[in-house]
Amino acid sequence: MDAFLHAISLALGEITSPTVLLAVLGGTVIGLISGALPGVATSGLVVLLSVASTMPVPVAIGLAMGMAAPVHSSDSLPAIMLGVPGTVAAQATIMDGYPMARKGQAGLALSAGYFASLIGSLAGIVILVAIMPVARLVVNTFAAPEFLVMGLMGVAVVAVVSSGAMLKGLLCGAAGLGIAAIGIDPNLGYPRFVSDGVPQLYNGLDLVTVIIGIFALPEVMGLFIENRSVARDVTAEAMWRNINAGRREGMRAVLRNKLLILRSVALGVVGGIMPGMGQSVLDWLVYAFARSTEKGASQTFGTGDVRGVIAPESANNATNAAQLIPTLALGIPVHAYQALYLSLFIILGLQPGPRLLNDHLDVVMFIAFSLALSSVVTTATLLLMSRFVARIALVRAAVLAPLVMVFLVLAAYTSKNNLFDLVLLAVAGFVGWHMKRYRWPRPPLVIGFVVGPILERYLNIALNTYTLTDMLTRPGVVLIVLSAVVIAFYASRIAGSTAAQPIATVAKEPTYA
Amino acid sequence: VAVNVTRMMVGAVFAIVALLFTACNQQAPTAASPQEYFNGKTVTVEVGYSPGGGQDTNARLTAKYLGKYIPGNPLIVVENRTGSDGLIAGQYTMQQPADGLSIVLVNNILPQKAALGGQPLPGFDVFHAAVLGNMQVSNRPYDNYMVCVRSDLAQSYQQTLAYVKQVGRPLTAGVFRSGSWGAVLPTYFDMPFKPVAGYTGTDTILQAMDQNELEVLVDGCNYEQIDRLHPDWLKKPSRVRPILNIDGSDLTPLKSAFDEAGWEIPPTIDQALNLTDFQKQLLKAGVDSSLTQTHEWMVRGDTPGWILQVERDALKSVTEDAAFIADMEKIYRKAGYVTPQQYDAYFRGLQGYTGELKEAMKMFAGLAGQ
Repeated sequence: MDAFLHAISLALGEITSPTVLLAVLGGTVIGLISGALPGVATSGLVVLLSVASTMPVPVAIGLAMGMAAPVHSSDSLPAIMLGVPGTVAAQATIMDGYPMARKGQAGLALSAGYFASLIGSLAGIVILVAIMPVARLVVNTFAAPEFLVMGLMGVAVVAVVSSGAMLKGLLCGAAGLGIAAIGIDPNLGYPRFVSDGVPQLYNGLDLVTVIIGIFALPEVMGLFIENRSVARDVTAEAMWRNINAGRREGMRAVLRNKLLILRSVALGVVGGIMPGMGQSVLDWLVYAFARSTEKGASQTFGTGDVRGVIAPESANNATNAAQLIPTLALGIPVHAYQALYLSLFIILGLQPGPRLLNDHLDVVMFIAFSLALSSVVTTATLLLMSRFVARIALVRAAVLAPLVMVFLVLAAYTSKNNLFDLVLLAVAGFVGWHMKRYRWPRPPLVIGFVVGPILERYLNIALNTYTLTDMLTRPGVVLIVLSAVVIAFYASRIAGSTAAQPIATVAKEPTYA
Repeated sequence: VAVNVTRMMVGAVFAIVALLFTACNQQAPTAASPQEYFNGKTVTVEVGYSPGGGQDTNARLTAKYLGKYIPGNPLIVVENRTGSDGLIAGQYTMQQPADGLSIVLVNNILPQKAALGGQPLPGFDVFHAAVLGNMQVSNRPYDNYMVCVRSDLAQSYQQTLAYVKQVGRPLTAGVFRSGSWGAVLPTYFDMPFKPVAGYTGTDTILQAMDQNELEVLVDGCNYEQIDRLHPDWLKKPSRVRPILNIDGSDLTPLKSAFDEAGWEIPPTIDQALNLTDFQKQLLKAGVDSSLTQTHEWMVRGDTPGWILQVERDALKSVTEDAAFIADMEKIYRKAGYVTPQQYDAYFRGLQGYTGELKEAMKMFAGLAGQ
């Protein structure tokens, strides 16, 4: 306990030094901008960390953590305003955020998203600090069988987000699993659906490019064709009133949904701790979980329900902090960002793993404080900016759409610096546009695509290392399966009580999917 | 509107023609001095893997020092151009002018694929590209290759065989590629291990061992990896126990560390097994391959000789920089210059493999299915 308090006092001493404070704030500003520009977050972090690696340790870590916190808050800006995910973790935010912007409720959606992000982030940081001493025990609870079960739950999400068009949804999910199989078989090393003439396919299709193509490109094309603003049916005056009222209402909406936040944060943290669970899968799991358990959500989610913004935003920020647990405690990077932090820590002479906890606990505390400080600054800045940012919804398509198109093309290209991805973007955009036009649900396709590799990898490992009895009697598996059963039971009761309501009380708005 | 569009199109066609004309008229770079040539230029290092990985860390660490040793101190920029084990980055670099301003960092997998596959890779002929060298050498015995077994199952290779007989099945060994020692040892040395693919790296294999998911450690059983990720295994009672020394490194410098972990120095494979001539040949080929570090820097083969010399000298100087050596030590790597001639010998050796040895080496390189 003494060592813990000593580490906290050392970390507080570091973070209150003017240079370090400046570094955290500088990183926050860069993170805010790069999160808001689709596809730029990773390359922005690469550049920043190259610079940081030549700086003193506290300044370098302050800068890196300053940038880490805002990315998953500001990525909701393009998701809500343009239907374009700023990062892969903001896919589900589009589902309700963008319809809200189209209805002139951008202020409400942004404010709720930012405030939920702050709460998720702070909760994740508290859990990060609390779990660190027993991190190894916690992380080791989750092995291949648990990942496999979580992957299967990801497939179940396809059914949840397809309700109303189940057959189409399942077909799209299957197509997603199919395109995830393109590339080298991770288990046997055999090429699948590729030829030497197109070596770009050996590593599979790029996730960022596919998501932009399926989700974002059709929205921008829609804006072009309609030639109207995002908030197409709202006057400027009404929009302005909505922005001001929406900011307060957004924060109130978050406070009203404490249980939803709690559940989303819990799921976000569990997903963050599990190395190998992609952030995309988690984002959809949280969204489907909220859609199944919130009253009336099966009718209103997808049409502009603020709870559909609160759930993924609180979860992905909690995940962001929780992902540092396996990175710092075990030296296992969960995500590309964590791999970059790992590389920075190593170059700075700090080897993540058990030794970091024993010899540099103050560094771990300093990381937590930097994240917390950056999260608070981020939310305050974004809330202040939201009144200006929300006006994007009023900009005419002739001005907005070409600008967004440029960013989308850049995002697809910078993801791998590969011209092939521009071809992929065009193909995915073509598919996405026709899916939108003929009302085929797009989320199941993307979910199948992100869940496919997880299922394949962990099915192989689990089948080769456990017997069926071993798998089914693992505490982690039992816990996940029991949770799924309880959620399904709860969801069926909620669905029953919603069905009893008069149909007129259910919002009738165009759905995103 | 139609007129404007036509004007824009005509303008675009002119711009493209001008660009093509400029590109066609590019001549081999000449300069009064290297200082003059590189001054104010940017040298881009293409990395075929994601940011944060081993290749990327190697590139960024070297890039931090490289500019200092090239006359004119050009800016060094690292770019990640991921895909196909670095082939995309290689293809891109080969399409750039032969001016030494575009360098690609290549993993051994590409030369292995070309040599063992018997045909050049599309768009990147690794054997006609110019090798600049490599900044990392083997750090034996710290990064040697061993086989470890979970200590609750057995304490030696003989006990491991007895345990396998008792349970009536091979023991699970995690591998992160479809090839490597984890696949070669059971297939060609009759070791009772079942390789389980799908792990993303040594870190996840060691974690799976910590979780009792795996029973044998082949990829990742070396002192450096364990010291870095599971230092608690280096104290009694250790979770794992080395039972075989694959590459035959002299492990006596690690004796005191082994004693602290309660480990015996394990026998080499040829001490533990009666090897056939083929197995001896394969063991040597695998050891030779793993001794050649996988971070070779390459440029276009038709780059002027004086540029190649400047860049090779600069890379060699980086490996002699005390700060670079210290930075490498922080990440358990040993700085040292591997010459282009050494790579040439290695590649030519690979091309000489035939028959079953070639097939075995393809498996070692993770190319069995290709």
